[in-house]
Amino acid sequence: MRDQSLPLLLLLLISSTLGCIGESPREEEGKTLVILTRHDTTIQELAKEEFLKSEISKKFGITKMKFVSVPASLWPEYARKGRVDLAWGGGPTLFDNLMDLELLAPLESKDLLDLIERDIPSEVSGIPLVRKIDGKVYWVAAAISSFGFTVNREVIEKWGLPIPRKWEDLASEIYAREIPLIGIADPTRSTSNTRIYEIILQAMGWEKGWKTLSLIAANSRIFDSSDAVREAIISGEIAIGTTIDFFGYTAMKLNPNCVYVIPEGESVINGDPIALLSTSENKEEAQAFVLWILTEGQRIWLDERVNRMPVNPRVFDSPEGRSREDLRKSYERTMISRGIEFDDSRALSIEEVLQNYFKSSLIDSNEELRRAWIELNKAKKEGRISEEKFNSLLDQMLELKFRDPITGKEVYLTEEYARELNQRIKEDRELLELLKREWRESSRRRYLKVLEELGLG
Amino acid sequence: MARRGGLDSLLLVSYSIPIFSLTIFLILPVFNTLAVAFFKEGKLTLYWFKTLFSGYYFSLPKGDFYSIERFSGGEVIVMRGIDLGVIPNSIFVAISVTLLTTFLGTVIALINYRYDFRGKRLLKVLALVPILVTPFVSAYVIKRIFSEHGLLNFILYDLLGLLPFRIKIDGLIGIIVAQTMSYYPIVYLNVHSTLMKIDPALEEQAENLGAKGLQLIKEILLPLAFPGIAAGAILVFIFSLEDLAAPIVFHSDPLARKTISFQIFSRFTGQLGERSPEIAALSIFLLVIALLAFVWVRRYVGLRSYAMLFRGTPKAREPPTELKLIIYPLMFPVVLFTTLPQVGVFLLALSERWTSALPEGLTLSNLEAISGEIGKFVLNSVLYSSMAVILIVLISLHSSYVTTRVRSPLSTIVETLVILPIAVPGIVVAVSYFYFFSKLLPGTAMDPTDPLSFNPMLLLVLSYSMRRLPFAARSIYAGMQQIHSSLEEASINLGASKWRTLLGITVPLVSLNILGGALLSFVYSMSETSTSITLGAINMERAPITAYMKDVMLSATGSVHLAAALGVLLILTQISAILVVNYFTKERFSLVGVT
Repeated sequence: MRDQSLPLLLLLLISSTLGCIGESPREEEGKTLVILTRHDTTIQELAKEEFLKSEISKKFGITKMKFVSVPASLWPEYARKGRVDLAWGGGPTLFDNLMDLELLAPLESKDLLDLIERDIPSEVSGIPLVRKIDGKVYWVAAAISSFGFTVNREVIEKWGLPIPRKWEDLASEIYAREIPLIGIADPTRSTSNTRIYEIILQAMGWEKGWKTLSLIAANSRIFDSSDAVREAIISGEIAIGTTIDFFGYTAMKLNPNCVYVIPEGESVINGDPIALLSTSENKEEAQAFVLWILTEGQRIWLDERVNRMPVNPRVFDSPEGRSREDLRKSYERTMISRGIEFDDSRALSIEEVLQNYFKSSLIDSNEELRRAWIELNKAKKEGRISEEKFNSLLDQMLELKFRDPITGKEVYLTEEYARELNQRIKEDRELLELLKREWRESSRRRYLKVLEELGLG
Repeated sequence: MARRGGLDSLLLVSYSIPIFSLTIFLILPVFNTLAVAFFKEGKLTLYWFKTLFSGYYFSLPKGDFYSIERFSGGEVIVMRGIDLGVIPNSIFVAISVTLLTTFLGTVIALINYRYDFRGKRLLKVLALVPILVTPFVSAYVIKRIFSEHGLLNFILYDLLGLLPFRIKIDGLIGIIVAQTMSYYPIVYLNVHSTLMKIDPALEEQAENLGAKGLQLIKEILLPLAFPGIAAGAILVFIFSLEDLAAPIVFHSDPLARKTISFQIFSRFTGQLGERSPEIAALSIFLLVIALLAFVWVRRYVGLRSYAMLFRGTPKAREPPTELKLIIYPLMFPVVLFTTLPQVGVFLLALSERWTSALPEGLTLSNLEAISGEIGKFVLNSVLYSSMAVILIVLISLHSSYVTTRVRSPLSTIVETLVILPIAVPGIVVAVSYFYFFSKLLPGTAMDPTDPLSFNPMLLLVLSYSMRRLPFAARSIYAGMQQIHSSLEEASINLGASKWRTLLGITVPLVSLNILGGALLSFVYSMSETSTSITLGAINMERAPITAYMKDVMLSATGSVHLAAALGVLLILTQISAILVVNYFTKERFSLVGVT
């Protein structure tokens, strides 16, 4: 009998463990709030500890909180399942995607809406901190951040390079090197870098903007996430990296050679949202948490282990706020620094095309792009081609032309066409897949053509 | 009749366990995910497979093998490799890594087996260090070693002045070097365990007949060790194709991005959670290449018979002087070099910063900072990995039994099935588990989309047991292949049942292979990342240590130093496991003894 018992035992073991190791039963005396988040565990723990102690949580009978940290691409699946109440942190792009998928519910609590109206700036230089559609609030920023470059002065001096002052400086041929010294992040993985690219496109106009973005990509090491850029600057692998402010401050702390620079007159700000999910079964309790995070809860950003800028400046009047004079100053500096006037709905209307065109034509084909750009500069420097030829080859290399995968016709990616495609790919993900492929292949062909014309094919 | 009944039930169980477990916990979930590769506009098609034959995936050789960059401090030679397109790039890397690791692993195993020399024990220990992988942190250290102002240049250029220029290793070459450094112990362990089972009388007879030195190694030892070499080499080949750790180290170089595993990692899921059909096709393509390579090697090895009837203790001897000239000035430095990523993890954990060639500012603050909650995460990892190892040994034992004892098409299928998991990229397993189990068992502890009921333990144990199965499976297979069936036949003739023979004769004879394989599977389960950081992080209370490491590294004030402190703890846990196994095998002072 012992012979046959083994598999039976195994089956029994699996089925019994399945039955008894599930989490504790859902129905307890109090309510449990479940929050999808991109914030790290320090922030999660602080929020949990402080909120469960608060009057407001007691009033609504909330006794437990659970945070779910999963990649952004899995958020829609959770939101659809209806077990999660709130989404918190991760940048506006992610929240706008959820909104487009009709997974966000408008905030309805009167206290909360009054507070937002009264205390939270609705926008800064055109960048929204409150997402309002037809008068309804779909998300509100709980913290704000600025973006800039973090520069490793030691490395930049070692290579004898200038410190960039503006975003477009990053596109300069000075930085075209076999060992790239600029670091940027993939916009499909980094909402902060997406915002930077959107700003550049709006500030410089569509065609010039894309030319600048392409050359920045040709000059850069492209990382899969914004935190990898931070590590690369700290370690000295790169000299300049695009980062969010608090990554810049961490870099300065860990490597005193690093300095965080806000580009002159081109500051970029983003709100980090919190939103109610349309499938939540605890809408009132969830909004109580939002109310808390926008008032008392703002204190968690001031914690030494967090160092983020609050969205509600009233927190600086609290005893905790008065002890963080440094953060108050950087808040004020951020709010007054003159930024580019930003049209958010314009950015939103092309966002997914921007992210995917960038990824396909500038990241996936980066090997070819970089080689073509370096060789082009080398040819000009060595006098093998004239300035005129250089410019015409460069224009040819960066032309926004591709073959429409549906009609098979050659088309230009104008801003208007991008807007149309952005709408279409929201419903047709297969079209997006075909476009990505076409964008990658057509850009590769253009880069290789330039190499061919330089006699390097 | 009783014996016949025993035979039937053993075969039934031995076929069923691997087939059912791999079908339910790997093939079905993964196929469910990759099926998108066969559809376009709702219709069955091979369109997405055809897209893999574009210039991006296959191209003519482009670029220079190396280039030169000048700066005020001198010249830097940048070595990255040549672009052949995503698919040939990966195959080129895998073949290079396989050749290099096979050479290095076999040479070390042969020298350790045949000769006694000062420092032999140290060499054995050092050659095992690279299996102690620490996710995220090793990557950082490897970069610090190979950058233009890193450790390698500091030693060869600044300190010793051996090089007239600095070198920077990046792109495909970087991946080859990093993978070779971490995978050669796999070949070494496999060859070592095979050599230990060679009947020393064969070697003695050869010597009596006049064979010596190289001739003896070439004509007697190498052919006898061939199953171990082949087992190790094929593991490395597939492992290299699937590996993501090294491409992630160098991913900011566009050439390192142009590898199959990185493309899958980077492009498999879109922003709205949709799965890319082109990448699903690429994943299937990867599986097919890996399986073809495996079947080809298997057929080649399968033609030979290596079983041993007798075993004894090998006679180790003093190496000749010319060999000493290879061992000390060449082999020791090379092996020492391969331990740098692990040594670096300790240095990072104990330093304030590492921004130039060497770490600076000795401190214990990183270790103190992580001491709070850490125990929980280590315990979770140990628990999940141990449970996975039990499943792994069970599956491996049965699969190896049928594949070495029964010649049938079904045995070939089982043998191929157990190697399959290493050809499935981690991200594919993670995404597959996520969707498959949330649909199959909604509202249970196995439904990752139900945060209130979900307990990551079950899915992680299953994913570890699938993903790390091939290590133990190949090790036990190699062991059983060397046991002559006449030993088992003798037991059966004396009246023992097939079960009793398996448990009383076969298992004890391959116990070293079981322990060695289980140990490798355990150590690699502890450092598993793909499913740990996705499924494990859903419920941080029950997360494994790798998920916590990622969290610590990404937090606003976190750093690679804190993650390294966690890495130290991970390494220490892995070493403890090795020592415990060593203790029970009564070979306390020889780490390699366990295999």
